Parts: sequence; structure tokens; C-alpha cells
Amino acid sequence: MSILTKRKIYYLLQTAVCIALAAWLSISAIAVYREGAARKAENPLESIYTPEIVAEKAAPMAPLFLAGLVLLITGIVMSVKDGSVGREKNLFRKTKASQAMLKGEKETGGAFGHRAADPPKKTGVLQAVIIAAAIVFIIAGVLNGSAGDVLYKAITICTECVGLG
Amino acid sequence: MDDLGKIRWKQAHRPAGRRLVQLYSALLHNAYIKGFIDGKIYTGSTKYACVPGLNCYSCPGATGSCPLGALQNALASAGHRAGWYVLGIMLLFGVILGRTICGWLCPLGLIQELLHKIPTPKLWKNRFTRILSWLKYIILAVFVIAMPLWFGLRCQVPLPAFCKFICPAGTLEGAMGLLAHPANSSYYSMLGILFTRKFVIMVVIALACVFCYRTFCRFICPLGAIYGLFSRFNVIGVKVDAKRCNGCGACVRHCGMDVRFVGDHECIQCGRCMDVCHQNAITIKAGKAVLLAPETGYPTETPGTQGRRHRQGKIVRGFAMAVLVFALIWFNFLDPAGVKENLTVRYDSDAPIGHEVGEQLEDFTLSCYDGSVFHLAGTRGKITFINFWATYCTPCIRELPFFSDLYAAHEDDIAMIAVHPGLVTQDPAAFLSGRDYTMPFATDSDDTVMNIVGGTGTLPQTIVLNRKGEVIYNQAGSITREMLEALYEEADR
Repeated sequence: MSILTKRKIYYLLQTAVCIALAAWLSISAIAVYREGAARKAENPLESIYTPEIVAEKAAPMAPLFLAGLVLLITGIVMSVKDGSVGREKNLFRKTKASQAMLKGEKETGGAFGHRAADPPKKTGVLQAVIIAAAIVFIIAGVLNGSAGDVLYKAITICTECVGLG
Repeated sequence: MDDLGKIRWKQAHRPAGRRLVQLYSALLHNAYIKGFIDGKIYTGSTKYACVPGLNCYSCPGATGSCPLGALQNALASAGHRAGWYVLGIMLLFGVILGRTICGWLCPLGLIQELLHKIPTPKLWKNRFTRILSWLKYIILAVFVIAMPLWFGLRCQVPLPAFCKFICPAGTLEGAMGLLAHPANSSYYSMLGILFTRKFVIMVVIALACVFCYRTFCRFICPLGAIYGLFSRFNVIGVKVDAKRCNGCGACVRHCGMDVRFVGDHECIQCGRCMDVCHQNAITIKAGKAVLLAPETGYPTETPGTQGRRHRQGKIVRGFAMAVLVFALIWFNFLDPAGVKENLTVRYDSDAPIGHEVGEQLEDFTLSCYDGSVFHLAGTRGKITFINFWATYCTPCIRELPFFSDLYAAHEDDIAMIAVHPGLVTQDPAAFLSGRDYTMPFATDSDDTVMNIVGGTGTLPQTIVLNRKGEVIYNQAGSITREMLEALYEEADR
């Protein structure tokens, strides 16, 4: 079996594990919610999620998760390159497509590197003005109490903001 | 055998300098390790400062504020106070570092890059991804600016829409970080559709990151969109020497981001293009000073300058390590923030003093806005509801009418107080002036009551006591009208 085929099989397995794990996680979460919502409709004091229910749903995923982990470690040990490495070798080859892309960029004034290399003449002045304005704003914020607002929000857990509910 | 095959395994897997900086930054962003052990968030004064990267401030380890969360809250409260502070911070980060933050400092960027390291086929950039990269500007306009402003100004309800509906950092670091600790098992009771939706969004984004480089950064992140606006004014960032550049385009073709040229609004200034530039035209500079140059072939790189740069690098690394060690020691062992004293006053009762179900709360007295006094010991014989809310907490404001209606329906049988914590961003009495709530309100200015009920600063929090004064319910999280009625009936048994 050629190296290329082995790598393809590895990619296929790894992709399948990643997608299966993500699908399983999402479907389990939705299933827990639907079952819990039905229970809650009967008794408002019931919880939709409980540590026990989550553990019960997560347990069957453990073998798949471990399989993914073993695959990943195998890939690292065997130095399996990711899917983008093979292509990078071709990046320097000036293909027809890349030449056309380059030409198009130049025609539209977006030549590679040139915009970044030719910054506006007054960039330094502008930077200084923005930094000065930022410092003034920060001082104004400390004086008007908006710095306090940042602290108050940060040291209080807003359950809805983090997605708890 | 290609060149990489000849390199020894250890060398091939040695982390790049940028990866080490990313790890360092992630650790510094989340230096409060004790938070993960205790399951509580850090409440010290360093949270006055916003961190540069996207890092949820409800993560148990977070030592600073998330700039995006702070921005949304500033916009939501623009009606009573201009958020100059956040604006200044964003300008400062934007002009000094810009998207260098995304490439080098953002903890979420690191997570995305690690996910992308999983060996699978990769989806390379194309016309579609380039168009999709504008999506983050739409998200910035709608979820970060328009919705918080609209709800804050028109409805007087603070709504950090991006945090609430999308942010995977909030779900991963905040929600999951808190839920992972057994001490927060009560938080499970508040999980519902919001959590399910955000969890699925997080999983989908994580999966996308495996196949598509920095999916969240490229298509969704409003913070990257803001920093991208400063791409032409960055003090620190990738610069191209126009005299050396021959316009071959290798830099752009090699880049995983949807850049049109090096240093544009999509460029995260990671410097990977330095390695592929045959002309050695690309460097990372701070103003005119070269911070990072190609290892060989750069014109100013003589053995003398290389030696000097090596020595300077050692000093910088030493200083950075000292800062990290100091931060870890300070946040975890020395900073007194969050240490709350337990009150020791006791009164005769069979139930032990505490805040758990079956215990009874310590006595306290609060002066209400209407001039009355709420004395806990005086509520014996009634079912008592204590609700912690805040003007800056959307679910709190949403559930206040439920408490008001319950109190109006059973006023003779219920004692109720809605308590605003000591952290006041706008006058709660003025906030309430246009609203016809029936129950009394008070401010717990020194957080005495918050300590008595075992609050951790999580809002909203509801405590229900039976007629003997024993706790039958004490949980943080939103509550529904039906739940309140059910709790009233349960307390009456």
C-alpha cells in the first residue's frame, strides 16, 4: 500500500471521527433539551439538564473520543502532515491561475505587498493622534465611571451572557 | 524523500516562537488557576482592564475583562453613561497592535489553530471564503453595535447580543468552565434552550476550525473586524519592503487568511509569510524598529546584529517569564480579592445557620427605597422571597414582573425583597421610577446579604424561605412565572 493511500485512509478515519463526534455532541444536546423540556412542562421545578443526565449521554461517546485521541497521537508520532502541507509545495509554482490572479490584483491596484509597503505619508501623525485620543478617552472613562462599569460587569456572572440561561 | 522527511521528528515538532507566545498569552489571560479549582471567577481590580484578545470574563481563570463584552455593555448603557473607557481601550489596542493580537495573543486564536492541526483534508481559501470574510462586519454591526444600543436605549434592557447568541468563547470558557466544577452543579438547573443553541454553535465552529483555518476569526469574530479597521495604522505589525518585493504573490498564496495583500484588514500579522518570501522583503516591525526578520538573507542581519538581537531576545524572554511567574503567584496566592468574611452572629433555632436548602439564613436588615425597612427575622410566619437582580442584567429585569405579580397576588402571605448588589452602574431607584413593581427594593451596598445567601456574584439569584425561615430554594439563574408559583406552593406545604 503506497504512502499516499495510507495517508488518505488516515484522513478519512480522522475526518469521520471528527464529524461523528461533533454530530453526536450536537444531537445529544438537542435530545437532552427536548426530553428535559417535556419533563419541565409537567413539573416547572424539574431541571432540563442535570449532571447525571449529561454524564449518561456523554458516556457512550467516550470510545469514539478515545479513538479520535489515539488517531491524533498516532498522527503526531508518525508525522502525518495535514491536508494543507502538500499544497504548499505548489504555492511557489506560478500556475496559469496564479499568474492571472496576480495580474488581476495588479490591475485593480491591489498588488501583493505594495499597499502595505507604501503606507500613507502621514501614518505616524495619525498614529500619534489616535493614541492621544485613546488616552484622553480612557481618562474620561475613569472620571465618568465607565471604567467601573467594566469591572462590575466582569466580576458578576451574567448567566444569560455566557449562555447558561 | 522530501526535505521535511529528513528533519528529525523532534525538530519537526518543535513549537514555533509564535506558538509559545500564544501559549504564554493564553496563560496570562487566564492566570487565576485557583478559579478552576474553586469553580469561582476572579473578582479583583485587574478586571478594570480589558485584555486584548477574546477571552470571556466569566471564565474561572480570567484575570481581565473581555473587550467585546465590555463594548456591548458600554453601548447598552449609553443612555446614562458614555462608554469612553472602552472606546479608548479599543482605540489603543487597535492602533498599537491591531490584528497582531489575533495572530499572536488571542487565546481563541490559539484554540482554533490547535484544532486545525488535526490532520484532515483542509479547505483552502477561495472566492467564497473571501466573500464570507465580510460576514464578521455584519455581525459587528448587528450583534455588537445595533442590538445592544437598540435594547439599551429603547427598552432599557441591557442585551449583549453577541455574547448571548453567538460567542463560542463564552460557552467554552464561561459556561463550560463553570459547569465543569462540582461546586457549580446548581447551575445545571438554569440550562435550557439558550445553552443548547450556544453549545451546538460552539461545536459547529470547532468542527469547522478542524477543516478550515481559523473559521471563527475569518468569518465571525467582531473583535477581529474592529482591529482590522486599524490595519493601515498599526504601530506593530508586518511590513513589506517595497524595494525588495518583486510582487510574486507567494506571501498571499501561502497565507491561510483571506488576505488580498500583506498587512490588509484580513492579515493577522502572524509572520508566516516571512518564511516563504524569497526576496526577504517581509519583517515584523514596531514603528521603524525590526522585531522579527527572516533568519537569513535580511540585509541588516549581520553576525553583529544577530548577536545583539539574540541578547535582547534573552532579556525579553526573561522579563516575560518573570511577569508570568509574578502574575501566577499574585492572582493565586497573594491577591486578597474574593476573600469574603463570614458573619458570626447566630440566633436560637433548630436549623443550622447557612444558605443551603434546609438551613436558615443569618438575620439581616435592609433599608428599602420606599423608606421601609426589611428585617429578615421579622418575616417569620410568611413565605419569603429574596431576589438578587441588577440594572445591567437582562434576565434579572425580565423576571422582575413575575416577582411583582406574585407579590401582588399574595401580599399578606409573602415577604419579598428585590436586592440590588453593591456594584451599581446606574441608580437603581431611578431605573425603577417608571416601572410599577409592587415589592420593595433595596441595595446591598456592602454585599452583606450576598455573603449571607452564599452568592457568588452570579445574577439573577433567587432564595425562597418557608414560614420557619428555612431555605427551600437557593439558586442562581433565570426563573419563570410557573416556577415561582410552584415554589410558593412547595414552601406552603
